[in-house]
Amino acid sequence: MSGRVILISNGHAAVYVWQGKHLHGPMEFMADNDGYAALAEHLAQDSGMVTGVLVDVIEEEFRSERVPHVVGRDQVGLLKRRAEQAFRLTPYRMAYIQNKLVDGKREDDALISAITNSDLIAPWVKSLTRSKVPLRGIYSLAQLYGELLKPLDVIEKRALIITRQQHGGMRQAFYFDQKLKLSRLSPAPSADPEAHADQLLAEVDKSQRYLARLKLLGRDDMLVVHCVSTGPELVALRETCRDTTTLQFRFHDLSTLNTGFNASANAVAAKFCDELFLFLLKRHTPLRDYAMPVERRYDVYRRVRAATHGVSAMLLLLALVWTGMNLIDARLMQEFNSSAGRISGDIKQRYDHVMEELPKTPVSPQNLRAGVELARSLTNKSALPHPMLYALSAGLQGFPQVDVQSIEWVVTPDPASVTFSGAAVAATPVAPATGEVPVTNDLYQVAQVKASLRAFDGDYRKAFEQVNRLVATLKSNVELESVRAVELPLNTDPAVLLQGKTGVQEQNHTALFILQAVMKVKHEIH
Amino acid sequence: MKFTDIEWPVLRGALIGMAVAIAVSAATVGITHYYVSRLAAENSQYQASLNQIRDRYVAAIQERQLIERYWPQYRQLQASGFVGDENRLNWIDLLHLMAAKHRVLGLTYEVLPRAVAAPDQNVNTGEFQLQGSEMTLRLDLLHEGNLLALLQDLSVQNAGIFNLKSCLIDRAQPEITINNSTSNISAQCKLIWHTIQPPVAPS
Repeated sequence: MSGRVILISNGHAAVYVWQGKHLHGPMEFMADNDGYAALAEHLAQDSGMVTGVLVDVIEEEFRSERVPHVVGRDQVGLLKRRAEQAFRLTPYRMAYIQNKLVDGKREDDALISAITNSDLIAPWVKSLTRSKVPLRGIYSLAQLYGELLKPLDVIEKRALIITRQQHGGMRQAFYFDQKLKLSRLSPAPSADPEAHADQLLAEVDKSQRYLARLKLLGRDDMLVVHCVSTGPELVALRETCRDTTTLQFRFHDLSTLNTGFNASANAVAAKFCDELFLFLLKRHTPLRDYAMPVERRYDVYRRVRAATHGVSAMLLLLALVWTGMNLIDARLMQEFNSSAGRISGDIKQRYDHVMEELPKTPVSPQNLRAGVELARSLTNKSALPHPMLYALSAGLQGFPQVDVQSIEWVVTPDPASVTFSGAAVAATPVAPATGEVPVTNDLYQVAQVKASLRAFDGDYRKAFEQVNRLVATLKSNVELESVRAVELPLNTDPAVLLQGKTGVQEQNHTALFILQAVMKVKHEIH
Repeated sequence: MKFTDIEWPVLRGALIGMAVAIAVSAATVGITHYYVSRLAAENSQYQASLNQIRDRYVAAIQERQLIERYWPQYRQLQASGFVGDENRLNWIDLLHLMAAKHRVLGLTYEVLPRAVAAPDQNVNTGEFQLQGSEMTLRLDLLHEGNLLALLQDLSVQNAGIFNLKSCLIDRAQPEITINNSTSNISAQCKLIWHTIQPPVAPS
């Protein structure tokens, strides 16, 4: 991914281009009309490339303020007003909250900063907008020192980080409790390492006094100074800068700094921190910047264009997929329609063939079945008296004294409800008599036998014994469901009148009795 | 940024591209969708037609199986007189034949008018109307075995379907006489001759 960065310093601009991990440049321009025009011309060659502006100028100020704790739009509005109040004369200003609810109060710490001389930036930015270059943002070099806290192992309460840029000069950034409080740039024209080391000591002294004036540094407070440099300059710094009771120095070699940045092959550039900051900007673009919305409009347009192209591509892709699915559906349906027509024709032929072969019947096939099954059902439910009469006959074989008068035989689904013509006596219930015909497929044949004992001599006890024996004999036939004597030769029921004579030779004694037998009709199984 | 401040020329290409994309997408999707809809309608017709002919074919196969299985039996039932109108003359002829065969000395019969029959049990009558005629037989017999033989013979004569409901077998006289012209047994039996009226034949 490519991107362009313009590093603006006092009186100078350098254009760098990132192509993947490689940094190309710089292309340098002086801050005059020729320089602005040359930059515009240079940018016009690739006006679509996203460009960030990194500012490293002396005229940048920082102020820390306590503001009421508000959130959301109120906070945005409040910070905007505070920035306007603090820096009325420049549009390049910003403010943000560093610490919330400090000292247990409903107040926040805000850092307000601005580039107080807008003329240092505006002409360059005009060159950008004139060429319709998408401006990502205008960032300050001071914003990027936060990315050095970890590599430099800055853990002190009060720390000063010092770097040197090729055109900008010597920049110091003061951190209090890991939060940037101010940053200042001073020219560093000397190429002599010892002279530079002396200047650094002098600038640190100035900063100490300035911080004390701002009450950010007490009289006895220790200030730790982290110097980032390389080569002879670093050696000179180590020799010149000695720790005092209120100052401690830490020295960091730019070429071995653990930031992921590979120092430039360019020997001159490798002595300065410009490329380090370009790398830090690429790796971690700050959330806030100095650019005004109108200056960023071409970047907005670029995003809108990208989004529009994306939406268009998605639409086309969606349409392509949808169309593809439709075409697949269409193909499948065509195949189905074709095969369905063929199969229908085939089945129709077979159907016609079957129908031609069907014999003509007077009723529908379903009714043929119903009629046959009805006939079968009626036949199955018919019964002849043979089994019952054979069973009775077999039982009577051992009783020659029994004279059968009549046999009444009926077929019924409910033996309990049978009423015989001679006597209104129900047959032996084989199921509880509920008064309703049981819903069952069982049929029963019930026989009532009227008989008498031959040569009865009036001995009713003997007659009872003979009848009971006959009943027991019949019961022993497993085909008979039940057998019972409905009437005995003498009715000994206490509820009825009993009459007779004793001691008289009676020739006309009769011993009539009635038996009832029940047998289940056996259905044929088809 | 106000709407009027927007530099439309910068966005023109992208917007035109999107408009073209929308138009092309809508057109391709619309055309193919219309085409698929038309095919889907045809598809439904083919499917319905296929289902219909398939159902008819399956029904025809089932009908053929029913006919193969039941048509011979149904014809037998027609021949026996179970299907259709009663053939009372056949019954009477058969009774006379049976009486002669089984040495019945006296036979009287009585057939009540045909009525819609209510089967004793849950008999499925299908679309047929089950009808029945109650017949009462009074017989004078030499022996009860003659009655049993007559009833057995009657049931296998293929003269229709009847259900014997009851029989009363009584002595004709106090003592049995061995005489071919004197009846010893009188019997009265009730039976129902069943017939079914077929439903209207399919056109």
